[in-house]
Amino acid sequence: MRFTWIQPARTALLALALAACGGGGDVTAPPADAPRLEIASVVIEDTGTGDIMFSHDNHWHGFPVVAVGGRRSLRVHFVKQGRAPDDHDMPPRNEWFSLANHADHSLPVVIEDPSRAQWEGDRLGGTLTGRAAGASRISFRLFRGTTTVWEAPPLNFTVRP
Amino acid sequence: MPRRSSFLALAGAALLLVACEHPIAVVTPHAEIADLVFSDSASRAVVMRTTDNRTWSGAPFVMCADDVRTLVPQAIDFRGQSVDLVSRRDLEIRGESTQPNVVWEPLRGRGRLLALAPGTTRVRFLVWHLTHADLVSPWLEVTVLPAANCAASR
Repeated sequence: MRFTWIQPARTALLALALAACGGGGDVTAPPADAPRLEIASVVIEDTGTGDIMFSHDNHWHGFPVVAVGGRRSLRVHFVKQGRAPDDHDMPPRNEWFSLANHADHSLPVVIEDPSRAQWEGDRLGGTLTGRAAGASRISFRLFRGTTTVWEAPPLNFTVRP
Repeated sequence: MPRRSSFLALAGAALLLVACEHPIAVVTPHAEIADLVFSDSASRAVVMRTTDNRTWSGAPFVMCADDVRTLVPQAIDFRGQSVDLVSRRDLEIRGESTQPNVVWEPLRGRGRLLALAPGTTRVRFLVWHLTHADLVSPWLEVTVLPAANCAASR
């Protein structure tokens, strides 16, 4: 009985952690028998410039650049098929898929230094808005319900004056 | 008490054996590089560089057939700091060419661009980190003029 406060406190902490991240969105509870998504890498597409950035094992190829006060619209895709360490070309588009048909998944996004930029989005992507010149990193995590099922390596980005 | 010390000795020996089977891997951090700058090894003048690793200034890069240009690469990180490519022995600047008339020969802290035959090609550079590329530059247009065209200006 002495520890009855622990469970509500843990729940409140979890809710607080999720609320602190952008891109969580509404998440429906995953069906018990739904297969787990296989993810090898994430592909970020800048819909304005056409720039592509993609994770490869534990590093990235490409990075977003945004001006102070500017906005970059970034769509998030995933790839199931892994690549060899020396294969550094972009995964082919026919292998990309989004979370459009995966309503039980969410994509919390955390900016390492929120004074540099802001992220607003959902599980399909979002907008990166530059706040102050410099550089920082973005973390993309894939949640199913409240469980992390995949996490991308931190993505560097630059905010230009 | 002797039984306890024997057990500890056995456990220690088992731990050592396991450690030998699974040696601790030496992991070096990824080089978080935003741009590459190439300077002439003799004059130290900047010959070409990338901007946000999207575009090249100094393109097209023009050479004469049979020329060899020794270039000093510099890697710039996301905070504008230079990454030491000489002391980071886990890093190497590699080059890829779409045509065999231009070849990049990596050396420690510098490299040589060899123009073997006239023609045009595209070259890109990779910051190679042991098994993979930490950075792949955009393609750089390279034009190699016939040696006869250059002889007059030499």
